[in-house]
Amino acid sequence: MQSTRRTFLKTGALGVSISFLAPDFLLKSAMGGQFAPGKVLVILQLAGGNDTVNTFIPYADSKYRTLRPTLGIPDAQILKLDDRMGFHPSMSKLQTLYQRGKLAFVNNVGFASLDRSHFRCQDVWQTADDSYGQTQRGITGWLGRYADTYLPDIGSSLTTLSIGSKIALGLNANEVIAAAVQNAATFDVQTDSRYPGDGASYKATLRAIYDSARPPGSLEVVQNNGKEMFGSIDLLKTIPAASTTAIYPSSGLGNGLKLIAQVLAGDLGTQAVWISNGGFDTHGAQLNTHANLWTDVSESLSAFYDDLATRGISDRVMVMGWSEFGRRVQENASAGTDHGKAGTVLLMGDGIKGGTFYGDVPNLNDLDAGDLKTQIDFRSIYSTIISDWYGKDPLPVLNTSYANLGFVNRARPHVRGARR
Amino acid sequence: MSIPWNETNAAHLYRRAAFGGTPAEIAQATGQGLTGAVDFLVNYQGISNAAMDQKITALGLDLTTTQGIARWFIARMIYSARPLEERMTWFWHDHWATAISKVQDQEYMLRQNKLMRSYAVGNFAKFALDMSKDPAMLIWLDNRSSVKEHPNENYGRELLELFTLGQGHYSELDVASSARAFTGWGLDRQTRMFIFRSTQHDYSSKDFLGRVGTLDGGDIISIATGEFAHAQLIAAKAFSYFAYEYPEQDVVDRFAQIYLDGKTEIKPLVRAILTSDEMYSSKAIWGRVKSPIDHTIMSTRQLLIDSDARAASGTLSVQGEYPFNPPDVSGWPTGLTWINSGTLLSRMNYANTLLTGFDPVKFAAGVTVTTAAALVDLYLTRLGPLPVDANTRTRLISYVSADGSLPAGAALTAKQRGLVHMILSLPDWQLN
Repeated sequence: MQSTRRTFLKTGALGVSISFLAPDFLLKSAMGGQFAPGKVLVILQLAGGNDTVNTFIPYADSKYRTLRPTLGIPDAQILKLDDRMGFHPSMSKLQTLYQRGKLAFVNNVGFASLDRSHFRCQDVWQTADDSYGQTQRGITGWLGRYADTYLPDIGSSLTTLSIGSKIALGLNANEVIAAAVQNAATFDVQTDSRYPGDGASYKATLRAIYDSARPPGSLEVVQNNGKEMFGSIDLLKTIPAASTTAIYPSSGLGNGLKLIAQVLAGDLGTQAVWISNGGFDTHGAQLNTHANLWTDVSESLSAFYDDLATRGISDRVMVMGWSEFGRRVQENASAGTDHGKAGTVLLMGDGIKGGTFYGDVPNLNDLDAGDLKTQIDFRSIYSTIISDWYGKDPLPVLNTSYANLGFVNRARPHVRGARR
Repeated sequence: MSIPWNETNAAHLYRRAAFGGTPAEIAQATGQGLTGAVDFLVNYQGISNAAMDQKITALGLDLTTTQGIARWFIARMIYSARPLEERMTWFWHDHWATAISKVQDQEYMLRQNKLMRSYAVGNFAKFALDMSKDPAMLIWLDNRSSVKEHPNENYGRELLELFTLGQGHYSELDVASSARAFTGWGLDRQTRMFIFRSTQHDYSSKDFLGRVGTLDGGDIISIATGEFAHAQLIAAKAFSYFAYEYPEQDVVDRFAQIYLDGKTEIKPLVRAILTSDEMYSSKAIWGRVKSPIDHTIMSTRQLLIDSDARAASGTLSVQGEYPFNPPDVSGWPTGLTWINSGTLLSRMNYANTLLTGFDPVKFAAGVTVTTAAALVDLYLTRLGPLPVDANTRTRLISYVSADGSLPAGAALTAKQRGLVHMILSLPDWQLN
């Protein structure tokens, strides 16, 4: 890893020295101090363990009815995709995207040592390392390693971005610090309104302190995050307004995706975004909960797609939705489902070979202690994305070679530099 | 090794075992000596909290709302005359992490909080038994609907993975046995109390950690809490909370033994940690990162600000450490995970709001300073003592005045206020 490259960084997001470091195509455009557009991956984390069997339903499997006597979705309500698989009834908007070829999913995804623990499974998915244990620190996430390895320093504080108040482990990097933004409109340092004359001096001093060198250690980490903060403040002042036509639900997920579309349309150098949506740990009375969760996901993603398409950038944004595990196929006595194993990954965007699914239809007659068996290692999805979407060698990020699943539409011309 | 007892170590003790000390508390603790100061903190039972109760009553909080109970807890952490009791209640809230997002009942959450406070330095095995019957927990981890035909594994599993043993110290068979042992432990909707439904309890034989028999929930707890792995989990967690994270194995084992010897009593464990050499080692002092709760409560306490806990609840929501609403059953993250561009901004802007209630005259009563440098040093000491590098100190002094003299009148008030805002926003003050 190039340990010195990033030390140049972030002398104010719009600094000029970057031209020595970045390839031409990534240089900011002359207009508005923005950066040239590139491919973006948006990770949607469905935290808690989504009940795959009731989301991407293998409805033709006779075991579906016998193992789900009360939770099984009535046949007439299932949104059928073909003669074997269908969506949960709350996913009509995703069904439309699927039919338009903008959406795909991958069945039976997991890893060999899936152990039904939320925390270990979330960590393994995010680090792409199944030797991950709880006592390790300084661990990098797979997308953070991707950023460290491949994203040139273009002087943007928003190269990688987490929506909300937390940086996902998946974006943890040694060099590329992710920004965390919840609300762009309020993202600025406030000073005491009773002493308006002092605000400028206050902000200048604080910036200067955060810009000063520190020896390595915790203080330096705090300092670097502070520099990101000041850089993000500058950049977020330049983003375009929120969409007035795309209809987002007024949910955390809807608001987050709306903000992501603004940031991406602003060409601020953003290449990877993480948004997490919780509540999928449906141990009891899950019918309504699960329906509400997927209504939100379906409507939010559909609005996001419309928003991106209207802004002319849906060809360079891919969404990957995942959950740490699927749930037990047999329902429990609480009208819910317990922790399970293999799950399903969702893919959305113009760059996807959509309108189809990858991996076999889950076989409910051939289970692993009551759970779906893993057929596809989750890292082959990452590998396919790094190779075919970002156009980079996955090996330095993943350390091992994984099968290419072929879900990226490589036939599409590479639209580097094209604007709306 | 004997531990030098001075203002620096006393302030450190109060940052970790309380939520930061006021100038008066630090002076008192310095005078008490190490064991005196620690004993004063852990033996809090006789200390009256009447002043805090009065203060909280005056806030007129609506305890049927989530913000109401969050502010109630925040105000306790700020104003309690028994700060270690609140420190430990927060510790247990993180350990038995239960969230209003699912429980959806403020009264149950408050009841659980009071249970945690009653066991703050009590006996863990008894505590675990009562937590297993706690309404909020019965809802949170679904045990209220776990019956013998279809045991719900949620509580039975997390009890082992997170609350008692830790991953790697049990098998899937143990999880199944644990879940079966708690079948029939339910919640009566009428009385809003725990109820044991014998017809739904699995009385058949179970195999748990090699013990075979008709085990029930109480047996699971007594077997699990007798394991050394359990003692290691609690000792490591408490040590990390007070001293430093990622403790060495021999250190963990030493405190685990103290805990087991004390038959899962918490107080001897806490007292041993707070009086240990490790607690005052260079690895410990300023070696942790302030969590949002630390930053929010300490700034208010140390600056003697009269707070209604409203702005505090706002920043804790943004930063993701909202009382009664942990992100999941594993509780909140620690360390540098709390630091990012968004949380730093929220800390700075919280400090700005907080300081509208800051009174420099009250805070620095009896102290006379005549230069900008002396003013900077006064606040760095009162808010630490906070060691900063020469560059930072120089910039703070230049912020107060260009020529090193002390401004006068309204300009001095503005600069004092801005200076405190700046210190609370420094990289250095984000450490603990």
